[in-house]
Amino acid sequence: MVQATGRLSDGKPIIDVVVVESIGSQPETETGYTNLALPVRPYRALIDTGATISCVCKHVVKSMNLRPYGRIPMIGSTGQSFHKTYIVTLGLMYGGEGQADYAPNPLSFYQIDPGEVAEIENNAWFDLIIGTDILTRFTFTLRKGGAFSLDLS
Amino acid sequence: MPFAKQEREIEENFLFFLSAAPGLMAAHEGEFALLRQKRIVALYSTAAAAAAAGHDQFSDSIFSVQRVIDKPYDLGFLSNGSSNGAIV
Repeated sequence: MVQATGRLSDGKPIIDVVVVESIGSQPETETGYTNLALPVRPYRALIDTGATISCVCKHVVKSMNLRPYGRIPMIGSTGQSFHKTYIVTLGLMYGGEGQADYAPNPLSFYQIDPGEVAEIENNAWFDLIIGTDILTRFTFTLRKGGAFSLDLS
Repeated sequence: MPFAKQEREIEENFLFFLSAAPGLMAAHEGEFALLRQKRIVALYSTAAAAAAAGHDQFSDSIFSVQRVIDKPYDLGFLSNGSSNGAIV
């Protein structure tokens, strides 16, 4: 079973992801398992079952030079605001430490179909948010003690 | 500023799209509109398909993509961070 795994960090489920801007600037690749030694930078992503769209922080947009595509309204506890959108391909890194298939080099990640993400402010805890738009494609399990897994099979 | 022309196109198209979106909901909810110069060029089932079509059709790559929705997305965890929805 191929899983992205982790343990709560400061009470938050954080996993490692990579970001690829595929539309308009990068060659397309097939969705699925990738096992490549690429100079890609891993980012920390919060798994947030309360977010209906996945998000990227402003510093990720800047460092990846992401091209904006639109704007969307988003609502939170304090009301509505408007956010820029980007269309990116995310890769979920799988095989965490302690897993039989753990292989830090070459980098292993499961590439998801490119999709729309919203820009959010920077923060101290994570670089991206994985929302229910992505989570519902997989099985997410949070276990007693704080370990969690995302089944990519 | 990178993407300055694109940013202007997005803003103009977005203002147009806010008034156009309600009329699209019945038949196209959840689809992605490809927009150019405050006009809906076509609708696609995915954002990636709309963006790819935009790059194919417009050599200057000045266009925008908007999802047909009638309610805002939920910010989730982030909305609890501060009074303006941002956490720093």
